[in-house]
Amino acid sequence: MQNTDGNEAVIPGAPATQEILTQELLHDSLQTGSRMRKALLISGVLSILGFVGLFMHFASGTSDHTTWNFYAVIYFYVFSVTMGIPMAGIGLRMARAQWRRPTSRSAELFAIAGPINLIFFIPILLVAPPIEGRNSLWMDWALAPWFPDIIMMVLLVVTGLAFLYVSLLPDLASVRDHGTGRAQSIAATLSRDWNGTKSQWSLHKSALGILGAFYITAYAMTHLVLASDFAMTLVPGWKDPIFPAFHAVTGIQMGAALLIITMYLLRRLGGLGRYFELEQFWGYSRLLLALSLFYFYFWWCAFVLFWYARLPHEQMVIALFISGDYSEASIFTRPQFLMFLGAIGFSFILPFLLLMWNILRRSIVAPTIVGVIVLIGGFFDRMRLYANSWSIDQVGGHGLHHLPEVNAPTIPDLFVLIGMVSSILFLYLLVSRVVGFVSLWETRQALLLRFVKPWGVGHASVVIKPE
Amino acid sequence: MADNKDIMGVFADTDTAAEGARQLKSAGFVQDDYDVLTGNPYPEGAFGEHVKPNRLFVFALAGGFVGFAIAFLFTAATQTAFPLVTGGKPILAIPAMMIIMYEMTLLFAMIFTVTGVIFESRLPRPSGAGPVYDTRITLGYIGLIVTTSEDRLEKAEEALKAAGAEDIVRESS
Amino acid sequence: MQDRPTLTPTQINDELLWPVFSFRKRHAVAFIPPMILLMGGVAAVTILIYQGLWVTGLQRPAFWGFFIVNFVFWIGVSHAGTMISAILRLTQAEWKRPITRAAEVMTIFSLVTSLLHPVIHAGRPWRIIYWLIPYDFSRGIWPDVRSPLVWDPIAITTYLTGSILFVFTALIPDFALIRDQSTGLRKKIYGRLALGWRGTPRQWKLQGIFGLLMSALILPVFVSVHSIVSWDFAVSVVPAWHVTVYAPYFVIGAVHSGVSMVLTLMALMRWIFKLENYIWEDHFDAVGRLLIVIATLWLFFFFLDFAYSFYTREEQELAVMERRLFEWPFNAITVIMVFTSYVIPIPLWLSRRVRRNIPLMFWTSILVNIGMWLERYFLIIPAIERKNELTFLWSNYVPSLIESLVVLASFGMVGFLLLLFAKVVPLVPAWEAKEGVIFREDVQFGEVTLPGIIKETEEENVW
Repeated sequence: MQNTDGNEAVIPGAPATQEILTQELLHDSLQTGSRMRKALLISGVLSILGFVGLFMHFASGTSDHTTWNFYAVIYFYVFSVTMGIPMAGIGLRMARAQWRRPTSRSAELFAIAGPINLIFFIPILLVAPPIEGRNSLWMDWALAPWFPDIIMMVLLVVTGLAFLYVSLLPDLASVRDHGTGRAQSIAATLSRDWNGTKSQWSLHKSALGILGAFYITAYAMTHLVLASDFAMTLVPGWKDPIFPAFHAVTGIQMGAALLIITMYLLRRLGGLGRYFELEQFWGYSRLLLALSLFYFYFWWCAFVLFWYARLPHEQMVIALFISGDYSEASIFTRPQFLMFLGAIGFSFILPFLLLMWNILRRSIVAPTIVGVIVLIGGFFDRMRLYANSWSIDQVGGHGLHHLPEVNAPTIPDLFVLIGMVSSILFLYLLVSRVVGFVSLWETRQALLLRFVKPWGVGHASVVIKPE
Repeated sequence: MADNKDIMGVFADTDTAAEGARQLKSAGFVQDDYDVLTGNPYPEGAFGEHVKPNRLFVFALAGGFVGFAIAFLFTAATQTAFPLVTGGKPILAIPAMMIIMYEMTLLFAMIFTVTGVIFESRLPRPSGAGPVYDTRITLGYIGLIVTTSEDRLEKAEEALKAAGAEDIVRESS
Repeated sequence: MQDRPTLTPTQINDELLWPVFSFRKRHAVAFIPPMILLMGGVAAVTILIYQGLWVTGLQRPAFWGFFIVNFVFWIGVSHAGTMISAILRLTQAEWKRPITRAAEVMTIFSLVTSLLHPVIHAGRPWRIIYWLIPYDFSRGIWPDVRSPLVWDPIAITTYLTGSILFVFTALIPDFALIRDQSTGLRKKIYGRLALGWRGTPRQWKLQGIFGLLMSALILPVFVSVHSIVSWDFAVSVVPAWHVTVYAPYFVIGAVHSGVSMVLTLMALMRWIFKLENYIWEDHFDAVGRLLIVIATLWLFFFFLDFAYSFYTREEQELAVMERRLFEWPFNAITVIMVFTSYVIPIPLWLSRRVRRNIPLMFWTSILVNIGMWLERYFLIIPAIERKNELTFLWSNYVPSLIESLVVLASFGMVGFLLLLFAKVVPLVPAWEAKEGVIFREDVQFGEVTLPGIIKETEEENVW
C-alpha cells in the first residue's frame, strides 16, 4: 500500500494489492467451476434454438415482411442492447473516468455479440421489401439498402472485435506467461510478441483511442442506416432525422442497463465483489439516469414537431407509434398506445423517478433493478417501433392512411430471441475462460494511481491524473 | 447557550491548525464545541470538525412542486379564461403546457435551492462576519473558533496557544 | 508535465483582485474597442426606432434577418456557461477552476444581449410588452401558451435567473474576500453582498453541494432553452425548417460556439488581466479536447439534417437545399461555415502542440464562431426567403448597415459588460484557485512528477 511519507498512521485499506489482483484475476477467475460449465452447456444448447427458429421462419416464407415483424423487434432489440454496451465503455474511457477501470473488460467483451448480430441480420436484408418508390436516404440506388447496410454492419462488428482484441492484448500476454491449459495456448497464439515495452504501450494507447473513435463513428452511422432503412422507410410519410439519434442513444441506454445487471451478476455469482463496488454502480447509475433523460428528450423532439404542425401524415405517425387509433374508446383496444406506455414508462418515467434520488443511485441493488426496468422498457420501445412499422403492407405513397393490424409474435420468434441471447451469453462466457471478466492491466494501473495519505488530523485519498 | 462565548485562535498554516484541533481535543473539547474558519475549502474532516447534515434537497423538491403547481394553474387558467383555438390545437394543450410547467418547475426549484443554501449556511448574518473574526482568514490563515462557557475560555485559550496560534481573538462583552 | 507554481493565498489575492482595487491602463484600454462598437449600435438602434423598420433589409416574407440570426447566436453562446461550469462540476474536472465564473458570467451577458434583439427587432419595442408579460391588460387576451414564441421568453428567463443565482451564490466567498481586504464604503457594500460569510466548514460544504445540485438543475434548463429556440423554426411548416433534429442540432451548435467563445475569452482574460498563473496551457488543451468531441457531434447532427433533406424528395425542401448549396451567396456561406466550424479547427486541434499554443487556439476559436454565426444564417435565411409558394412574395434579404452595426454592437456589449464585471469581482474565483492549490498533491513516480488531486468521498472508495 503506497504511502508517500512513510507514515504508519492508521489509513483505510486499498482495494487490493498487486498480488491479490494476480491471484484473483489471473488464477482464480480462469478456473472453470461446475456452475460455469453448466452455464456454458445450457447456453450452448439453447443457441441452437435460434437457428431452429430462423429455419422455421424461412420455411413459412419470406415474401410477406409483415409476418416477420416480431423477428425485426427481437433482432433490433438484441442488436441495440449488445452493440451499445461497448459504447458505454469506450465513452467512459475517453472521458478518463478512473472508476470505470474494473468494468471495462465486461463492457468490451460484448463486442463478441457482433458476429451473432451479423448472422441474424441477413434475414432482415432478405425479407425487407425493396426500396424503389419509397422515401430513403439512397435516392433509388439499385444496390441499396443491402449493400451499404452490410458494409456498415461489417465495419461495426470488425471495429468492435478489433477494439476488444487490442484491449485484451496485455492480459493475453499475462495468461500466456502464467496461465495453464488450453487458455494458455490460445493466449499464446493471440498475444503474439507482446512484451510490455514502452513503445508497445504507447502504440496500444493510441490504438485504443483510434479504434474507440472508429467504433463510435461506426455505431452512429450503422444506427443511422439501419433505423432509416428498416423502420423509417417502411412507414410512408414518416420523415424524422432525429430517429437515428434516438435509436443510437436508446441503444446505449439499454447497453448501460445490461452492463449494470452483468456487474451485479458477476459480483454475486462470480465472486468479483472487490471489483464491482459501490463506486462503479454509482457511476453507471448516473450514466443510466442521463441516458433515460435523453430517451425522453429525443422522443419529445420528434413528438412536439409532429403534434404542433398538425400535418396529416405526421398525425398518422403519432397514431402509429404513440397514441393508437383515437376513435377507439378503451385504451386496451389500442395496442400502439399500450406499447408506447410500456416504452416510456419503463424507459423514462420509472428510471427517472427512481434514479433522481441520490440514495438510490448510490447503492448496488437499486441501479440493478432500474437496469432490469430499462431492459423491459427497451423491449417495449423496439416493439412499438418495429412491430408497427413492419406490419404496414403498403409501404409506398405519401402518407399512412390507416393503422395496420399488428401480427402477434410466433413460436419461431421466441426461439430466435432465446437463441440470440443464449449464443451471445455462450460466446461471452467462452471468451472469459481465456481472459477473465476484469481487466488485469487496467486494474493494476488503477492501483498505481490512487493512494491515501495523512492530511490534517485525518487522511485524504489522492488520485493521480497521468495526463 | 446565552452565556456561551466565542474565542478564536488564528493559525498561519494547516499543520498548526491541525495541532490546535488536537490540543483542543486533549483539553476536553468535543467536535461540536469548535468550528473552523477558512478562506477556501479544505478536505472534509481535515481539522476534526464535524458538519451536521443538511436538508438542501428538501428546498429543491419543495421549489419544484411550487413551480409545477404555479405553471399548471397559470397555463390552465389563462387559456380557459379566454379560450382561443390557435393552429387547430386544443384549448388545454398538454404538450405546450408541459413545456412551460417543465421550465417553471426548474425555475422555482433553483430559486428555492439558492434560498436553501443561504439559509442552511446560516446566512444572512445581520452582524456581518461577526465580532470574532479576523480578516487574515481570507489571506490563508485558519481560525479555530471555540464556543464554550466562560469558565472554560481560559482552557481553550491555553490549548490554542500551545498549538502555536498567532493570535487570539476574544468576543468583547 | 509542466511546472505549476505553488501560489500563496496572498499572491492569489493580489493577482486576482487588482482589477477590483485599481484601474490599470491595460484594463482601461481594453474597454475602448467594445465601447466603440457599442456606441455604433446605440446610434443604429436610435435611428431604427426613430425612422422605423424600413431602414433594415427586412421585407416579406423574410421578416427574420440579422437580428434573429444574432439572437439565436447569442443564446447559443450562452450555453457555454452551463456546459463548462455545470458539466465540469458534475464530472469533478479540476481544470474547470479558472473558467467557471467567466463562463457563467458570459452566459448571463450573452442572454441579456440576445434578449435585446427581439425587442429591437420589433420596431416599436414598447408594444412588445403586451406579448411577453403574462397579464391580460385591457384586451382580455393572455399570451398563447401554445406558441413557441411564448415558450422562448419563459425558458430564457428561467435560464437567466438560474445563471444569475448560480453566479451570485458562488460569488459570496469572494465578496467576503473583498470585504476583508477593503475599507470604507467598499467594505460596507461588499459586506452586505457577502451576507456575513465567515468560511465555516458547513458553509463551504454547502457551496460544494450547491454547485452540484444547481448544476443538475440548470442542465435540463440549458438543454431546453436552445431546443425551444430551435422550435421557433422547427414546429412551423416552412420547408427545410420542419425537421425534428433541430433541437439537439441547435443545442450542440450552441455548445460548440459557446465553448469556443470561452476559449477566446480565456485567451483574452489571460492577456488583459495577466492570469498566466491561473489559466495554463493545460486548460486550453482540455477545452480543445472537449471541443473535438462537441464539434464532431455537431457534424453528425448537421449531417443528419443534410442527409434527410433528400429523404422525401419533396420539391420545396430540395429547392431550399439547392439554394443553400449552389446559389450565391449561400454557397459561399455554406463552404465558409463548414470550413471554419470543422474542417480547419478540428484537424488542427487533434495535435497536442496546437492545443497548447494559446494564440493558435485563440484564432481558431474565433474561426469557429464565425462559422457558427454563418450556420444560423445558413439555416434561417434561405428557407424564409422562399417561405411559401407565392412566388410574387419571394424576396432576397440584403442586410443593411443598421443591422450590421447592431450585430457588431452585440459583441461590444458582451465585451463591455465582461470588462465592467471584472472591475467589480475577480473573474477567476479566488476561493477556487486557493482550493486548487490545497487539493493538489504532486506525486513522484520515478523520474517524473505527476499531478494528483485529493478526492473527497463520503465513504472509502475502492478504485
